[in-house]
Amino acid sequence: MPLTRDRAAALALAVAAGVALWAACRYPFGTLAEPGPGLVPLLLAALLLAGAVGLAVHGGAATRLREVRLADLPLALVLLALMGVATLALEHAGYRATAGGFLFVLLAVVERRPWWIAALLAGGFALGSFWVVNNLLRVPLPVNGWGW
Amino acid sequence: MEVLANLATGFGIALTPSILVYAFIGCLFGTLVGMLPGVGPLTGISLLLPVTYGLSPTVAMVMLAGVYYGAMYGGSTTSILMRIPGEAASVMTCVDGYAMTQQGRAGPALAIAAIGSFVAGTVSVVALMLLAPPLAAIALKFGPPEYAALLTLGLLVLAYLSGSSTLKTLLMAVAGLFLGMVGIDPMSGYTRFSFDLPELGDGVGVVPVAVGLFGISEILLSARQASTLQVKQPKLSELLPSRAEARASVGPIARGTVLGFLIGVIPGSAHIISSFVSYAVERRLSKHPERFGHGAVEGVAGPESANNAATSGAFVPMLALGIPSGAVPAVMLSALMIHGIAPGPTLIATRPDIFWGFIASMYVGNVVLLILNLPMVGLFVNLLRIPYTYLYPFILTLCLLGVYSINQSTMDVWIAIACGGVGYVLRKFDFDTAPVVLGLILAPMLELSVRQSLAMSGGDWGIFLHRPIATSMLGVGATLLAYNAWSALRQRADWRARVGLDEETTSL
Repeated sequence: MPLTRDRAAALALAVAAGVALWAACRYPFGTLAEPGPGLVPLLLAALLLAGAVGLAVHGGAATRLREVRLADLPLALVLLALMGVATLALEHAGYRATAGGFLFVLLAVVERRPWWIAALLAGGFALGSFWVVNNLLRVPLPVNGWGW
Repeated sequence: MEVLANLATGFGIALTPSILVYAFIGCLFGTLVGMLPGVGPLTGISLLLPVTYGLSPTVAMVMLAGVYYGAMYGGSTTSILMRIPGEAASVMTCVDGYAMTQQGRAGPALAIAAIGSFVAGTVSVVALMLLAPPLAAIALKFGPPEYAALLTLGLLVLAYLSGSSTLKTLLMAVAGLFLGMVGIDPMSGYTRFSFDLPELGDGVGVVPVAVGLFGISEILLSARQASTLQVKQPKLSELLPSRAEARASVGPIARGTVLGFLIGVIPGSAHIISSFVSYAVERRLSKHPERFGHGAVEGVAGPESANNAATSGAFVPMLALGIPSGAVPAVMLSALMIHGIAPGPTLIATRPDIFWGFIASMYVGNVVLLILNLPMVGLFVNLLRIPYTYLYPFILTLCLLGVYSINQSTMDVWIAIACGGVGYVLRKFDFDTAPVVLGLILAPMLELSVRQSLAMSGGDWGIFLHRPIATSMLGVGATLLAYNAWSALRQRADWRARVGLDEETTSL
């Protein structure tokens, strides 16, 4: 029984459905006349599990898992990690410093653009977007302890 | 004749220079606001609401309606150029709009979106004018069983019309529905699946999920080719749609307009599904469904027309019954009430100047939007002349900024990042991500309707079979599903015949 892309996805979905079933069981199901908060999640988790089994059964003809191209995975993980760091920093360092730093790292370090162009663009975008969103549209953006 | 006379009165009000100026300001502001992911029509209207206190009610409604229309169109611009849906209604535009951009057809995609929005907006205003009272009466007949049946039908139609595997589409829709269970249960007050994180009490937002699954995942997939990626830069002569593209868009615009308006009338958030349904219908009707997802102009024309027509449809219950069909009409309703006007069945009789002035201003707003946006197509397309190595970092920052701006919550940003990662994996495994968003949108309404229906019937599932509207819709859904299963079995039989495995061979 070859491990295809669909079967791998079915396995992941079955695990997710198992977790969802376990989580749904923590809430009362009630009765059909008075359905509780656990009833619909339980039905959905069961549907997800049944669908995953169906996908596993019919997924034999899909592309083999080892043929899935993952050459872009390392950069994707770097970008996700950088976004995570920026999110952690956002409410501590303030929007302008975080957005400026995030853009500078992406342009100068990841994409290896000249550092002065990266600094200019990052600074300009951080200040400009802060002015538009925070001052013009009055959607409050975080500032740090120094008011930045 | 009476309608025409009233409309003439309305135009007399709407075409005064001051109203035209406010319509222009509203459309321009709305377009700019709509282009920022996360900062959609609701934020735009809420921002301008205090400004309208000092204006007359007609001027206030004209300006706010302009913001609404403008924001809907602005959201499609970022969907087409960057694959970032400004809001849920623009999700389907991302698919073929962005594919057209990659082929150097961003100009025609934006122009078709503008023209489709204009046609749909104008036609649906006529429908609003003529059909508001009877349609509103029909919409009132929708109780919990009818809603449950309608939403189930929506999901089944999507699966039936989907170009990819029905099973995979349904699995993604179920995953989206489950995601929609997160947060406080409106019937019991239980907080579900929040893992003790108070920010999840309100549930998972649609925009963070859509931005993650569409915008961020696209960058994760394409950033590695940033230095070599060639997004074709269109020439000035290629900014308008070709004759073939214009011809191919006529049907989708017409169908999207009708579908969008009818779905938009139904109170609740059902109007959001109009663009999903329109896209699915166009793919199914197309002689070349394989083009969908790879830059089919019909995939832009249909959903864009549908979501604009739904915008007008959403005004039907608001104007005719005083029932807002979503957050935006609710804010507009409050704008009227601030001026001491109570929308409802008596509005047409008591304040014809407001009703007909508003109707006429919607025509004017559509024309203003077209005049404003067609010349700007060239300007927007110039964004693509920026090398992708410079462009994608700004798009990522814009995604994070837009998602944060919705609730000023880093939880939304985390959700968008997580959905970006999940979207990357799903697309590697050939799953369509749009049904996740649709499931997420429909989940709260579907769950509430099912549970209310069961409570109404004392736990009898038969309630769905005893009410004509609900039974008809479920019957259509079941027929579609059965037809799909039959088609799949027939295809399988064909395949077996092609490789020489007939029934007799199999039985051996």
